[in-house]
Amino acid sequence: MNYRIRKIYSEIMLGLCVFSFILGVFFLFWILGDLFIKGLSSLNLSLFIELPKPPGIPGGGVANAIVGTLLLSIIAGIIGIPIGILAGVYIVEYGNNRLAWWTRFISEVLSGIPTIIIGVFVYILIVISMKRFSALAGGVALSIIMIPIITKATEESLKMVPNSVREASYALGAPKWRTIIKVVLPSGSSGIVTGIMSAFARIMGETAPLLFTSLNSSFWSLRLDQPIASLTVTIYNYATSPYKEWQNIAWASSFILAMIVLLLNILAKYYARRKTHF
Amino acid sequence: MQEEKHIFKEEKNLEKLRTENLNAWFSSLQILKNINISIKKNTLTAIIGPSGCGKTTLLRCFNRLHELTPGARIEGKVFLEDLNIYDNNLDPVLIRRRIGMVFQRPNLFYNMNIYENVISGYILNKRKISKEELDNIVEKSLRLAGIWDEVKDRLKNHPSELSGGQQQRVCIARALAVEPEVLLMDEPTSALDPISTYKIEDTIKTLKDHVTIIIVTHNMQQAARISDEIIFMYMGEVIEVGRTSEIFTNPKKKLTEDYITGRFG
Amino acid sequence: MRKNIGERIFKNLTLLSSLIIILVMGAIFYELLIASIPSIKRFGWRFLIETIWDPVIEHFSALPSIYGTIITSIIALILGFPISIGIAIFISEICPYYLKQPLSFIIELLGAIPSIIYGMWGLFTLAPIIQIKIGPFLNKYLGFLPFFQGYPMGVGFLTAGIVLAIMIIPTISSISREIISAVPKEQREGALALGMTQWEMIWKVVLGNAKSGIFAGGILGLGRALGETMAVTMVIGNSPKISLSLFSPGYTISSTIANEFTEAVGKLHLSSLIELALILFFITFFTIALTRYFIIKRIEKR
Ligand SMILES: Nc1ncnc2c1ncn2[C@@H]1O[C@H](COP(=O)(O)OP(=O)(O)OP(=O)(O)O)[C@@H](O)[C@H]1O
Ligand SMILES: [Mg+2]
Repeated sequence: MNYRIRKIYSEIMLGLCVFSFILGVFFLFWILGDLFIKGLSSLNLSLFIELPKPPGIPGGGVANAIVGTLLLSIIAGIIGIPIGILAGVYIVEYGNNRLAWWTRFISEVLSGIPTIIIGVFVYILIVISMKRFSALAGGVALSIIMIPIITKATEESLKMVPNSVREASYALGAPKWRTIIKVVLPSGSSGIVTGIMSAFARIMGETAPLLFTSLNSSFWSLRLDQPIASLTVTIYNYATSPYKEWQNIAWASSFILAMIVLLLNILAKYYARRKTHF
Repeated sequence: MQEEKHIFKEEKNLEKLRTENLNAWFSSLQILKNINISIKKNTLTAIIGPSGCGKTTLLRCFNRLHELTPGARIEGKVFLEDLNIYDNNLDPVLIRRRIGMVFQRPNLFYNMNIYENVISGYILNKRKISKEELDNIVEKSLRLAGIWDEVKDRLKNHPSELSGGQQQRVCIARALAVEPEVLLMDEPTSALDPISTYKIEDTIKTLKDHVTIIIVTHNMQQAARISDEIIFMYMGEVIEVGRTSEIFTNPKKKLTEDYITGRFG
Repeated sequence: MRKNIGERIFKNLTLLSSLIIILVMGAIFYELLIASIPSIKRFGWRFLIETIWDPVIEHFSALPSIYGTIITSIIALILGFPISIGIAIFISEICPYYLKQPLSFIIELLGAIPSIIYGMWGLFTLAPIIQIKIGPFLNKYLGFLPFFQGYPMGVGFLTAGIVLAIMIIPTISSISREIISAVPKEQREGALALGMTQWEMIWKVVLGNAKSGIFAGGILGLGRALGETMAVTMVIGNSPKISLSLFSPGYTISSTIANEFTEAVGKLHLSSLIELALILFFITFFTIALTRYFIIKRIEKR
């Protein structure tokens, strides 16, 4: 084939690649732009301080949902962070065996299981046996999503810690577990913290696992054995309602949610970039 | 030989470390073959030999680091005074507190500042000690390692701010801070410039009054400058052991002579 | 001895955490299976091949949901896969070095947006456009194909597929980018030295080398599309219909569950929904497990 034609063909294909990228960015800005325009215009103070009101009555907010999302995240964190980190430690520090391989493999697969399935699972496991929807169930569901993310982050950052550091500690007479706690984990901490922040960003945006675990509520509640509102489920209910003012609240709440999630992601990115010395 | 040994015995009569039919493997590869050596208290012994002959492995058998490598295995005995460190009922951790080690490359803890690094032996072993005492230990150890003046004003700084040679000397201070009876050093100066090397050699020479030191080195001049005794290894075996002056002037074995005169290795 | 206790406790804690992960996975399978038994007993294999999903007469079968799941995922892959590869090539081969990190981050942001927000956008912004502009346009020019017949209602398979396409872009492109970047420099230079154009080099050498990894990325993207719930639930129209027309509303497995689970009154209804979850679990478990298995093996080989 003629070189000039090949060259032109090459340019066209490269152009298509550039176009793909532009398309991706275009959608990102479209979605975020929408969120800004529709979300900001419905944003007001009462959203942050008031409880939901029935349709037709002006005002009303999602304050309880914001608190609910935080509470659910805290429950998930309390369960998920230690398990996630410890499993990561097991894989890297104790795992020269099949079990470690399987943990890593299962954890990877678990992170790809649709979250709605985790919702169904927790429903069967907790909601049915407690005979009611509860914040605890929602938190547990979110923790199951969180664990593989943190395990993976821990695994990757601990692998970056050079062996010479562990040996230095052993040579000083430190037992393995203290070496891990005092030297290995702190040395890998920035990656782990990054992973934890991404995990929070992820679970705060989750809706499906909460639909039939923590359900929703229009009241203030901090009780673990009661249903609780969350930003995402509130958005879903309001968005799919026929009322215009509720849909507006859904937009404003989406804006709040997106800001929280993007902030956490950017923070995580920033934290990951902090200088590591290895 | 007999006579000399006798004289020597009177000066430094106590045996500190002894191996008995020590063999070591990486998986199926035998690295150390039937090592029987004895190291006397408060002497400075240099292990020399061509690359890959098993010097590092031998050193790591002395504080039970060898067995931490996956697939690694040892047979035989190593006595610290009259305690077999490979006794089944013995926690290796207890041995490592008595036998310090300095590695080939500086490996300070980057999650701690310089001060914390020096006392890390105490942090890691949860030994509770008063602040003043710790301050004293830090100063004493850093002075012993010959680096006090260089770091005394930046003890709270991150260790990566130090040069490689300075870091290595802080590593020595860290090992000394827990007051080990034996100090193992694996080519501690191989990555360093001549000035740092001399400083560390000075440090090592002053140390041998309180500590039994075993040092691996590739540098013949260094071995000649600092050591009292020499162990020459070749392909996993100890070929010759003797006083430094003896080995350098009048080696018993052809192999030793070839090696120290630089004919191979 | 005291130290040994600490060591034992700590090691066992890490072991326990690992076991919890494996146990959770096992428990998910077990619980779903047990809770599906009423439905499995009642409908048997017909559950997979019949087309009626009707809570009123208590007759349930999975085909409408499976159909919707597959159709929307195929649309997502057809639209999203080439774009993802294009993005991966752009970032790793075309854009200047100092832009690689920030540009990847921008694309990653696409993956950070919660799915409920994709749902909002799909429902309130994209669906009307499909209904008023894109749908009629496709109907007019491609209406001879069964896919584009009928009246576009805004919500439906096509809308869900487009939203999913955008959602799987970050997954596929980030994996592909990593794989592409791992192709050794010498191979590229060798190809250029042979007189290949830049595209020929990318196509034959880079993509040729990276194709199994890119394939794995595609499957993981597919896994995400198959399981995505909220965005789809909001834009698919939620009706258990099997229709060739992409304008038609439908159901996916996950949207059926999301939509009906809390309202399921009958025991059989709930059990059937859980059996749907079990099917989705199988589908995604095996797609992900297989690709992960291959990726892990590849990494271990290096
Ligand atoms: N982790 C390991 N796994 C398998 N074999 C190893 C390992 N470490 C070292 N070896 C092998 O053991 C032998 C001895 O290694 P060792 O590190 O003790 O040599 P050395 O005398 O210290 O050499 P150098 O002077 O180069 O440091 C070498 O043949 C080496 O290839
Ligand atoms: Mg060595």
